[in-house]
Amino acid sequence: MLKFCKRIGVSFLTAALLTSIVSGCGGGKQVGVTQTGTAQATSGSSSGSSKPVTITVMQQNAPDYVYFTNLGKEFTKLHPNVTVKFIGVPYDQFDSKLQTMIASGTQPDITTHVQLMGFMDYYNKGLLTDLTPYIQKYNFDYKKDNIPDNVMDMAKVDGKQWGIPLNSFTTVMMYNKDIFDKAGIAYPPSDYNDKSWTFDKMVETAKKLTSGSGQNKTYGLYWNWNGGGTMQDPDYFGTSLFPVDTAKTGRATSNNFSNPAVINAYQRIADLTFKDNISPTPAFVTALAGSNSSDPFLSGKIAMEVQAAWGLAGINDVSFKVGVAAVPIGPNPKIRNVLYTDPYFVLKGSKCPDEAFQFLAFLAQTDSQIKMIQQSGGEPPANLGALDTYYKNFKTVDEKDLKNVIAGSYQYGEEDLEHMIVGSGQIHDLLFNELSPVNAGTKTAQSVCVPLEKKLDSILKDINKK
Amino acid sequence: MNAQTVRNGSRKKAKAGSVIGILVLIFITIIMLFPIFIMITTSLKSLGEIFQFPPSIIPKNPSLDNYVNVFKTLNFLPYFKNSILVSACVVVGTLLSSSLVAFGFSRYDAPGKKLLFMLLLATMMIPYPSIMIPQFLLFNQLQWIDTLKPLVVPAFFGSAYMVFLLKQFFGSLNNELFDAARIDGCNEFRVYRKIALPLCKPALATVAIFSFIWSWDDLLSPVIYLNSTENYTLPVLLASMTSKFRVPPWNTMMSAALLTALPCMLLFIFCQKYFVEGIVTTGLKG
Repeated sequence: MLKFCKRIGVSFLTAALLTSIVSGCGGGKQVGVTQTGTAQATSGSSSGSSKPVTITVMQQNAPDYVYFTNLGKEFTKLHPNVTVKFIGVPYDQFDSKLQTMIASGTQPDITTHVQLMGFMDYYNKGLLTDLTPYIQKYNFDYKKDNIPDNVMDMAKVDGKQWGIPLNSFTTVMMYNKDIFDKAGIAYPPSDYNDKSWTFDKMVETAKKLTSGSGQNKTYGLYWNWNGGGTMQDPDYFGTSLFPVDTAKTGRATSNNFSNPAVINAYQRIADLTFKDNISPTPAFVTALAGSNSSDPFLSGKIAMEVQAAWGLAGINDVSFKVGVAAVPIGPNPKIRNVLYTDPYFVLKGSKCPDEAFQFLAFLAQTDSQIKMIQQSGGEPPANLGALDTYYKNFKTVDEKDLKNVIAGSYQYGEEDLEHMIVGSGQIHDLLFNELSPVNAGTKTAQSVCVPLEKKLDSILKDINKK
Repeated sequence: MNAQTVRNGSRKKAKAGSVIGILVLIFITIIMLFPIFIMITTSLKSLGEIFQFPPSIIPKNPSLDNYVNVFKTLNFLPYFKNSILVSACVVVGTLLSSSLVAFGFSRYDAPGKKLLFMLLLATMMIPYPSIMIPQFLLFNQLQWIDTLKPLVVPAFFGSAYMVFLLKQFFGSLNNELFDAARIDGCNEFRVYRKIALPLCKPALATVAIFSFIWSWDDLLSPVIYLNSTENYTLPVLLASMTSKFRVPPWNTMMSAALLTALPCMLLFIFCQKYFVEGIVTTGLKG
């Protein structure tokens, strides 16, 4: 029996030893969120405190975000008691990780909307710190930092500021200069005031640029105006899926899926593929792009693509020349673009909101924004003072054209609704799934949209109950 | 038609049958290996060639640059080290704990044994997301967040699936063997260690391979429990290379994926004999 006990003891000792080896290799120290949060709680979080503070920033774990670490070090030089720790999380796991951390009270100090939870979801769940007192306390002047009013207002509710925008993506039309040159067709204009550049003109041009067949087919146009979403598509065509004040109220209370104008808008987009024969099918887009995480334009088989500005991220790697143009004037001349603003939040419960806010203010400065563009490979800044660096970032794109496009985007853009309404993730998934047959050409918009109105209403009721 | 002719005819039929069988198997093998082939060729392509459509099957200018990038730019080795460490410890922990529990369930009678076993099996039905937050809270209380402990220590408390698998195997062993060992003076732990475990090698190999692969491929747990890049495991590295808003460097990604898959492939190749035997004798498949 004694031997048996000894052996059991040895087994447990072995287990304990292995555990200690593992913990010993786990970075050598406890850098956990608990330490980050509680240890710094004693700092009192005042701006004048000199006690060591660690602020955590959570974003995607992609090479683009190395600037958080680098700029964090620069921030530490200015505030020696503050260390900035970056938590990188893969895109698909971002919301799961954040929700787990929030539920256990170990949330990061700073984050932004990354996956399907938009700004309004964060706000509605009471996850955000009101930054208004900090703006006043630290005399943060967003106008001095060249952040436009409409970009700043995106994260404002009831007169209170809940986030500081650091990136502002717009919609752009990218075109393959090589395909245009080969066809002998003039490039589309970048000037938003050029009234000749209309949706019909774009379709007409795309028809001329569509050539070949099968795998060798070149398509004239890929229309991804809402950057992967669908709920704002009708806006371009002069109608709206949700009541006009939805973005302002933050809640979609009803929908217009049975409205013929909305149905026509979705059908018009599908017709680009199946009637005009100028756009690739969703299946072909997947084949061209490899997955939903890539962009078919980069394959060189698309002459023009209307896409969110993150589409520009890969163009320095392609072998053909790329230009940018204005999104053509559609049935609604006032709305031609979607703006995708990324406000950064200080999450409620942060033990060092002062330092977190100061770091955000530091990141919004022109110098920091320039470094962000350079180190990220081309993230568009919210600070317009840094735009000159952004214009120069893409080697084959004409700087003047990009300047025109960005200026026009701000003039004719509306904020992405997925950022602005509660439950946008659920709505996004429903629309994506239900509208797939329309985009695949197996059903008409009429047959899908009318019954979809009830389904969406039912989901909206659920969302608004919570 | 004489008997010889009939025999020749059946031999020819059997031969034709086996040739067709082999051809079918070759065809299926090609289909199964094609993704790996594409993975290898993609890992040898340049970024420019990745964006070409239709894609080239054989790289025009094959290069090992992507593999160099994996080590230089992506800093592959620390991730690899963490993955190996976690998976090795998980294998040891699972083998120790699950075999001990399975031996107990299999060889001893006690009141409520069946109920306990059913409860154990019932834990397999609990979806991970439902226990994710309570577990996170627990590990946070223990100050284990951002260490490898949450990925390893649970393995030392048994795995319901592995206990079930091993219990099946232990149950198939002859009682006389254990009785003989006891008559020869073996205590219960020695019976387990000297008699049961050696006879269970195929099942243990199966458990080792399964637990290694599951731990090696696990993405969610490292993402949830780890915050520092220096602690991340390989699946986190691979997942970090894709992003909805960026163009993934498919060529580098394939190089990293291939290097990541290599240990699992090698493990399977070397333990194939035991693994197949274990699957057959326990009547289970993964």
